[in-house]
Order: sequence, then C-alpha cells, then structure tokens
Amino acid sequence: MFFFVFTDDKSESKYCKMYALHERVMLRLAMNILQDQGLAEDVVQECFLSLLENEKLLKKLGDPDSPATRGYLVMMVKSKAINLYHKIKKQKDVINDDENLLYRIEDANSNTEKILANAEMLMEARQYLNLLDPMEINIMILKYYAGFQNTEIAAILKIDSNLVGVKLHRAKKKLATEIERNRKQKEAAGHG
Amino acid sequence: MDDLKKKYDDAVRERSDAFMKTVTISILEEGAEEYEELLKNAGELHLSDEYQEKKKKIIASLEKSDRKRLWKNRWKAAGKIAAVIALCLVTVCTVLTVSVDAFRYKVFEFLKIDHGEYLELVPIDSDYIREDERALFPDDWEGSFYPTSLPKGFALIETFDGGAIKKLTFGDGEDHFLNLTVSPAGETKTGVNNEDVKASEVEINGVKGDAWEDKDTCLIVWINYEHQFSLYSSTLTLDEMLKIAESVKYLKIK
Repeated sequence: MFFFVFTDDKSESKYCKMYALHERVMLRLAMNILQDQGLAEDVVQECFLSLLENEKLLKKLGDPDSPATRGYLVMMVKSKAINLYHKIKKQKDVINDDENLLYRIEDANSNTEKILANAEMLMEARQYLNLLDPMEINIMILKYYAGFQNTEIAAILKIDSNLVGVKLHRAKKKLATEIERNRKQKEAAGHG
Repeated sequence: MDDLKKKYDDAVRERSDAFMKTVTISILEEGAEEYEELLKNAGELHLSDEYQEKKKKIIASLEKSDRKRLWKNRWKAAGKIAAVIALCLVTVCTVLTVSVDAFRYKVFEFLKIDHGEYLELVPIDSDYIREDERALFPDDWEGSFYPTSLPKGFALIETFDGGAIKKLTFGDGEDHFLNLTVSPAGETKTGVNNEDVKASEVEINGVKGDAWEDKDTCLIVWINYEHQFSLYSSTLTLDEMLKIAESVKYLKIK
C-alpha cells in the first residue's frame, strides 16, 4: 500500500525550507564536535535563530541552498559548538579573552596591512582555515562577504563590538605573520 | 603631502580588504565542500521531540514577526496614499471655496457657518431710485439690489418680499416687463423649461452665469455677493439683459 504525501511548495515558509535543507547536516557537524545530541541540537537552534532573524544576511547569502549559505552555516555551527565545548570543559574561553581587549585597532601604517595588501593567494584555503579560530572566520565572513559593519556583526553574534575589532585585527595579524614566514622561507630557499 | 599619505594609506587598506575578502570566499568554498561530506552521513540522524517542538516555536515566532512587518508596511503605504488624496482634496476644495461663490456657500452651509458674518452689504447712496419708487419698497428694506441702467421707459412698478426671496418688477407701461429676483445663494432653485430654448454661458462683471432664450423670453441667472440673481424679461434681447445685469448694485432705500 502506498501513501502519497503532497506538499505545496508555495505554502512552505522560507523558514521551514531552511530547516529542512540544513538541520541534519548542521546537527551532524555539531555532534562531531560536542559528542552530545542534546547540546548539538541547542547549538543548531541558536544558529538558525541567529541567521533567520537577520533579513539582510539572508538576502546577502542568496539562495537558501547556495554554496555561500552552506559554507556560512558550517562556519557558524563550528564557531558556536567549539565555544560551547570550551565552556563545558571549563577551559579558558579564548573567544572571550578580556586581556586582548587591550589590543589597539590597526591603522594603515602598520606592517600587517601592507603585508596583506601585497599578498597573493599562495596558500590553500585549508591552510588559512587552520590558522584562524571559528569565531574569527565567522566575523570575517560577516565583514568581508556580507558587508556588515562591526557594530552589526556584534549584534548578530551577540558579542561586544570591541571584541569584533579585536578578532579581526588578530585574524589579519595571523595571516600576515604566516605570509611573511612563507616569504622568508622562499627567499632562504632561493639563496640556498 | 598629508593628502598623498592619506591616499596611500587608503590604497593599502583597500588592497588589504580585497585580500581578506578573497580569503573569506575561499573559506566559504571550503565550508561548502565540508558540507557535502557531512551531507553523506546526515540522513541517519533522528531529531528529538524537544528539538521539533522548539523548531515549531521558532518558526511560528519568525512567521508572526513577518506578518506584523508586512501589515505595518501595508498600513504605511495606505496611509501615504490616503494622505496624498486628502492633500489633493483639501487643495481643490480650498481653491473652489475661494474662487466659486456657490461652492463657498455650500461649504459654509455644511459647516453651519453664518454667511452673514462674512458678507456685509453696504448700501450705496444713489439718486437712481426716485421718491415714488422708494415708496414701493417695504419699510424694513434698508437696501436693495437695483439695476442702475434700465431701457428707456422702464420704471419700478412692484416689489415683493418673500422672506429670503426679494423681487423687483419693472415695466414700461406697455405690457413690457422686467423682473429682478434676488435670494441668498443655495437657498432657492430656479427651474427652467428648456424645451426649444437656447442655453448659453454668459459673464456678468467677471462672474459666470447662465442664459436661456427663446423667441419671446430671456432669463439670466448668476451668483454674486453670495446671492443668486435672476433677471427675466419677455421683451428684451440677451445683450440688453446683460447690460442691465452688469448695472445691478446694492442701493440705499431708506
């Protein structure tokens, strides 16, 4: 005996569609990190709420099943899951490291900006991923892909706006350091 | 020098941001690849009842916010349209009230405004009315609308006080008559038998009026000084009637 279930696409809201497309993948990723379905489900719900409340971000990501949406969801889940993992393990929460709020925000005269301005994409994206923590990646996506200002990013991620600036600066510093190290290695190899 | 330095700094920052954007896009692509890998094993997962409940609540709350936002936008749009329409109506009504007596009268009547407050007729001293003609006016008439240019031989022969309607009848002693009827604008209606009648628009001292002529009679009706005037004759031509109409003034009687 066969039961046919007809669904009317038009009546399914965009929110239901988003959940249906991505919830299982996001849950799988969160569970890989947290090893607990209950905690993983909480992280997934938080990610959906954070994304679906933001019309501007949804518009920027475009199609609900676009590569940009998939990539963003993966990074967002990683960021929240790792954050929760650290909190549970009572390790130092590197995401909310208050000491680093004393960082000064960079200006264009610093070497970091100049190194990045002259850099080329010589590394695989995977290597950049390895350098940066999930929160930094999340902020970079919101800043450089979605075009949000620091205050808007802070509101989306529910963190301090100073922290957004600090994380961006730290991300740039890490990339610039690695690029300089590679350049010197190449120069040394060239001379050797 | 400072300008050049600023331009250089801006250029460096722009290139640095461009590099960061390129890295970000690469990271997103990497994330999308990882998604594909995760998708292979995701189908086996069972979602708990608690999760499903919370999901329903979140979706319901988001949809409710959407509906509120939609209604708010619709009301805003309707409000804007209504405001534009209201503005146009007010503008048109203001122009009509100022320039068209009949319209102004209707507006005042609607708003229950006493016209008398806004129109004060001051009778002019004049010798046009002879003493024997003055005797024909009722005692309580201080002033009256009176044509100061009449065809030769015509004189006032009768007055009629119908309350709001006042009528003067002129005759030339040879069965030729001319009637001038005056009433507050909007309070009386003039019926015209328009069978075999030539109707036309006329102008009396810059005020528009209507005229009807047939082979024997001529009637002109116009509104001025918040009064309706009807000038009727069975012998005069339209041109002669227009001359008489233009000569009507408010004269002192007593």
